Amino acid sequence: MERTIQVLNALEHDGLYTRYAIGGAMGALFFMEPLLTFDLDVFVQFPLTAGGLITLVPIYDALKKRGYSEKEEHVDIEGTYVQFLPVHNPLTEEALKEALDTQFGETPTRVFHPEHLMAIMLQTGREKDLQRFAVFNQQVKVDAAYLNDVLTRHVLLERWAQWNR
Amino acid sequence: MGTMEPVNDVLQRLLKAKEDRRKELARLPIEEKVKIVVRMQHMAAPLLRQRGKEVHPWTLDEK
Repeated sequence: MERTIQVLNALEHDGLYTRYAIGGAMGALFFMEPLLTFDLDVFVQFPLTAGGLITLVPIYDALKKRGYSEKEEHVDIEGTYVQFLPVHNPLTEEALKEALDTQFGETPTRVFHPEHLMAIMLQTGREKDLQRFAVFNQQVKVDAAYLNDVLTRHVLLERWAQWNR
Repeated sequence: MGTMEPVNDVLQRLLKAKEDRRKELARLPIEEKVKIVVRMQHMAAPLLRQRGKEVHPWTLDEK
């Protein structure tokens, strides 16, 4: 996966997106026990366009030039199945903005804060988010004040209370 | 192991060991966790394919 991250860093350096961070199950993996997943979810912020429209095509084209083809919204980059997800609401925008700098092997990368990963699980609210949330909540020490701020700001305190029962 | 114990004590000890193991796994370096995930993908893929799901287990880049 290190070579995959090196490609992600190169795309950021080349300006295909202004910033990226790992989220989803692989983001959670930085903090909790291993869990089965087949996707590396990479959240990206695109440079602003005049019309406010976004497209993933430039990323796919740049990857194609490097020998990696897109198939059904996934790209096999050095043996890892990557899905690029544009930040799409205030919570994911904030999660990307405040993402943690970390390392994978010797390669720098970014991952969402555990508090943002939890908030996104709550907001997404699928059955698998609920299951992941339960384990994450048990295993990961979070900053309670920071989490409370995030949940308050994104109106997730009620769901937090429901899922914590 | 050889002595008899009440079933609840045995269960409690087993559950505690399971929980400790999970905490230990959670503390592994990310690189080691990814290796475990890839092994899990290769174990799960045949079963998921039998159920008609298209999955793509990763390949590990070894230095």
